[in-house]
Amino acid sequence: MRSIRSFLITVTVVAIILVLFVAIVQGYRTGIERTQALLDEQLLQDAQLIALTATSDLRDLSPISQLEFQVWRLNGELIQRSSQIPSEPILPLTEETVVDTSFAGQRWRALNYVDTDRGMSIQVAESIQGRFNIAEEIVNATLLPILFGVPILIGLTWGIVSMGLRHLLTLARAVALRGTDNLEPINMPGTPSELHPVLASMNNMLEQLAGSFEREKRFASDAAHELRTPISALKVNVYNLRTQMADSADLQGLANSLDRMTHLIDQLLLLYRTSSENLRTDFESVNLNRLCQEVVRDRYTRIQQRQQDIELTAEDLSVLGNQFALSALVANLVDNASKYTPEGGHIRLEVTASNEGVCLVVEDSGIGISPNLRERVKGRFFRVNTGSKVQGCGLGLSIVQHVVNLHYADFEITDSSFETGTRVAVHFPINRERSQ
Amino acid sequence: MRLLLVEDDQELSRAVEHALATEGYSVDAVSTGAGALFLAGEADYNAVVLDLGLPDIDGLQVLAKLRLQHSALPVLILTARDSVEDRVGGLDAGADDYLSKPFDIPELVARLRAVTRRAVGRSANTLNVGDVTLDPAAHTVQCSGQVIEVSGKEYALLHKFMENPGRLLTKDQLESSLYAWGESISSNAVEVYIHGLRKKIGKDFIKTVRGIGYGVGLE
Repeated sequence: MRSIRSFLITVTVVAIILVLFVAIVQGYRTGIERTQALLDEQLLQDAQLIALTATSDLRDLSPISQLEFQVWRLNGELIQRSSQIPSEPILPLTEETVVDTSFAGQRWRALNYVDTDRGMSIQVAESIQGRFNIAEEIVNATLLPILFGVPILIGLTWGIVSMGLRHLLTLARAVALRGTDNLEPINMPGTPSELHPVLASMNNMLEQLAGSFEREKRFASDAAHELRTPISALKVNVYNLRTQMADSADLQGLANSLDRMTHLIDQLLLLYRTSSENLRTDFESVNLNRLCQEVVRDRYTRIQQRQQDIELTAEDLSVLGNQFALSALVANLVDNASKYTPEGGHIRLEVTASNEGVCLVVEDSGIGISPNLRERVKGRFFRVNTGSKVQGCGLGLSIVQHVVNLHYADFEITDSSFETGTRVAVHFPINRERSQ
Repeated sequence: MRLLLVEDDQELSRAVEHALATEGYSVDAVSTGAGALFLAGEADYNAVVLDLGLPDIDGLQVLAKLRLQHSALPVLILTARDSVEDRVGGLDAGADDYLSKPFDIPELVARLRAVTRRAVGRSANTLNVGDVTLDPAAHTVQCSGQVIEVSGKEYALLHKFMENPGRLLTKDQLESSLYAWGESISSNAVEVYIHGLRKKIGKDFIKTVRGIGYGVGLE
């Protein structure tokens, strides 16, 4: 069954036509029978009329009444007859009967009327074809209007079924318009009772889905809280140990491992939080110029410690996105740039309008990534073997990839415009707006 | 320097107390919000280090009550929550600074030094960065001992810089200090007033980071 509407319309129309057909056939048959009976009655009255006027010449009568007749005396003498009828009696003279018979090459309905007072037998015959035509005319006049009604009935059925299914279509449209982001329960006033179970279980499902998204969100922040406090204690304890004891390679190693673990946990939580499609629910217009300024500002102390020179060239452009995720994206790109660029190097950020949308570029004068590795670095836990002491967990570009996907954007890694280094360009799609 | 440390995790609390004691602070540690509010009323602290996730009262409420009773007391928030809303919420509620876990002791100490210095600056009513001294009470600016005439808006900008030495400030942050003047500001107002200030107090006092913002006392 492709469509409820066409199913209902087809079935209803077929049922109506079938019932009408049976009714018409039945009506036609009984109609014809009744008319025949009436015509027989008429035939008898005609015979009685002829009996009353039998002495006068009735030959002129026949063309008008389309009757053929014989007037007999009961002793078998023919008083008069119409032109087409044979001169022999067509029926036994003394018996009152109505039968079908044939003469003059036609079928006739013949009646014998015995008038005992006058001693006459009147035999009348009427063409069966003629009678049938009359009967059919009467029946057709009754039944045809019903046939004309069939198209109207089909039209009405179509309209009624469509009207009845209107709520279903409204519901379908409401669900279709939702998309995957809106998990609010569907509220449709005036929904017919048949749809209540559907609506109820759908809303129940939405509620559960929203609940699991919510739990997922809360898990990330709970995990953050639960992990961060003990790690803080661990870090402070290691710090205290280092102030009390002569610095050893072991303590240095412990501190380094701890930093790496801290960074890994931070990045894992970030990765987890930016992978949620649910972030799309609070997309807003985010000014990339301001966002870059804030991200760099929060990192400036570290960049300054490495004596790196950083600058931003930005048009005041906004993209539709999630502030938190976009911050994570820019932060990771800037952190990477700073990490893989030697002290005294350069970092440059750019926000420009392009034909396709908005382009965000972060480039550095660092060690660069060789072309054959540029696709692989986007994967999880992949790190370029630099042989240096650069710390990292290999999740940075995965986070970038996640945020890029979340925003229907894409990113590419190329050579930077400095002598060495990497250039990462993120292309956001067309929904850019120019603020003020 | 006397510090109030409000942290419900015993292990972390003990370790931080130890570390700060080594740095020369005298630290009172409590694990509840009620305890913190009580102690803040009892003793004269130079600063409070406040964890937001407390067992009894929400950290932000503790902060609000502290602000009500001890308006000048510097509060540094320490928390495992790191979402943007939490940050903004903490600073809006009147925290002087915000440090998310896990943190490094040197950074904590540096921030503590900064917030207490600012508080001292507030009470001493002068701000000093390099050769420049700003006196909010007298509304005057001195450079190398010489009094310098600055316009109202230049003064507002300089005040903002001097309150945040060593920090990079974005143009938005600087503009918001000009909004206090209740007029609409042209898009290049910050640049114009910084240009004016540089003419008066020297080119290198305010450092520019191209496209990002400005700062004083940056290395």
